[in-house]
Amino acid sequence: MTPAAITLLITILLVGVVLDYVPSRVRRGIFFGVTTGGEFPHSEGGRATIRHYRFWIWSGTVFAAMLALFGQIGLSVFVQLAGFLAGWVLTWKRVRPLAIQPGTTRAAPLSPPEGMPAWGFAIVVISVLILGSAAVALQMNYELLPDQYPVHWGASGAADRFAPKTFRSVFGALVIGSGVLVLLTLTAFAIAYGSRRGGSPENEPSRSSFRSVMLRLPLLLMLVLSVQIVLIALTPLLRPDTFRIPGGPLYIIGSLVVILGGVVWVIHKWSELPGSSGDDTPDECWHWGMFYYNPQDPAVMVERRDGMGYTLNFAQPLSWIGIVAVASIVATTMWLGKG
Amino acid sequence: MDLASPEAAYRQIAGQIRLLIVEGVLNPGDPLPGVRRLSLDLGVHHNTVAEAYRQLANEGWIDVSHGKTARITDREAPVPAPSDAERFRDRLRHLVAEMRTMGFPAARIHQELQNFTDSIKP
Repeated sequence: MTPAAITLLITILLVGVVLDYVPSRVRRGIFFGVTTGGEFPHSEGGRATIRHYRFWIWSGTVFAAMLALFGQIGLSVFVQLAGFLAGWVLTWKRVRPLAIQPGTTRAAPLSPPEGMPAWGFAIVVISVLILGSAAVALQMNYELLPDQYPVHWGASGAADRFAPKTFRSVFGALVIGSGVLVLLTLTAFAIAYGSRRGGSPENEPSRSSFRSVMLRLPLLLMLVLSVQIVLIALTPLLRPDTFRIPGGPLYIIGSLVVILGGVVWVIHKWSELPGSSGDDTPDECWHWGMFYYNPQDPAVMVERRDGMGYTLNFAQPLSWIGIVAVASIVATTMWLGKG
Repeated sequence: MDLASPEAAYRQIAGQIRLLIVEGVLNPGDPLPGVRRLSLDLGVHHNTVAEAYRQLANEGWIDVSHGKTARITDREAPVPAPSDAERFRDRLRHLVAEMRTMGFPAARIHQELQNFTDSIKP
């Protein structure tokens, strides 16, 4: 087996474990995107539901792993994703008739939002400085860089595609990294200033804890990604003989462990929260437990029902403006970075 | 506020803020959240919160000058009409009757009213 196939196999299995672990455990009171109350997951019906979901997850994962062994990289990723989506949607349909009505009492603080903490601003500045330093290092050593410049690396960490030395090939990774940084900064600010602080009083502890955990994720991700992107951007300078990313396959597996570790950390934080009766949004406005459409709700951002951050209220025009803005940033970044 | 209550949402919001002012939790000069902020946090339409703020402004509790943060005012209380006192006495009588219906003894009702009277700020 090639190092690339082994890396992919480990990745598929790690993702399978997380997909198995996550949806059945997040958010007390919400089960597969449906408000069921905290007790249902522990009942016989709840356990049967989890078994039903796991059948789909592991069917997809095993099939994807077999495809990976035969070198079908793209297809294996698609099959695992399809297994997850089928498992989630079919399980949501099974649980949906059991939805209970959320509480009708609402309370909201009259104080201004706490906003972005000082350490959040510090992380944004540090990430910008990390990328900026790499750009300066590349510019200062521009003459030393090879004429045929590596622009893509395989799963083994070896460069597998080259292009003539131009602004795009040399600074492309940093430009894309800057785009990611902008998106993560916007996400962090949207959570700090635009997320809902009110709702039913019994859900207040879980709501404020959710916001605090979710604010940390994009900021920490920003720090990790800027270091990783700089590592890629500086590889031709640091390893002019081999162009191998330091760490090789461990780089990809390490990145995955950091990201999946973040997901498990969020789940762990959720399990520590006091009892919650859901997220105060009506079940009839959730489609597949994933997409929220509620014209009566002024919120643009609402907590995702699987507990993994926030999603948009697609009934609000501002949500669509945000999608267009994000798509524009991604398109501009890709155009500047990759050409 | 209670979304299932027959009382209009804007009246509930205005009532809660009025209560916080009368009980001294909110003081003259204190800012209130913007209309969009409070409507987002409560999950109601922003017109509902705007209507609640308008009602409080009409009663003199808050200042909602255009383009500025809504703030609690140092309100000058109007002179109540004699019929107003009679109306509130009537509401109190009904509340006491309701408590008796629930089984509260007269001494307990007296104590509750006394505690409440003591908590009223001048």
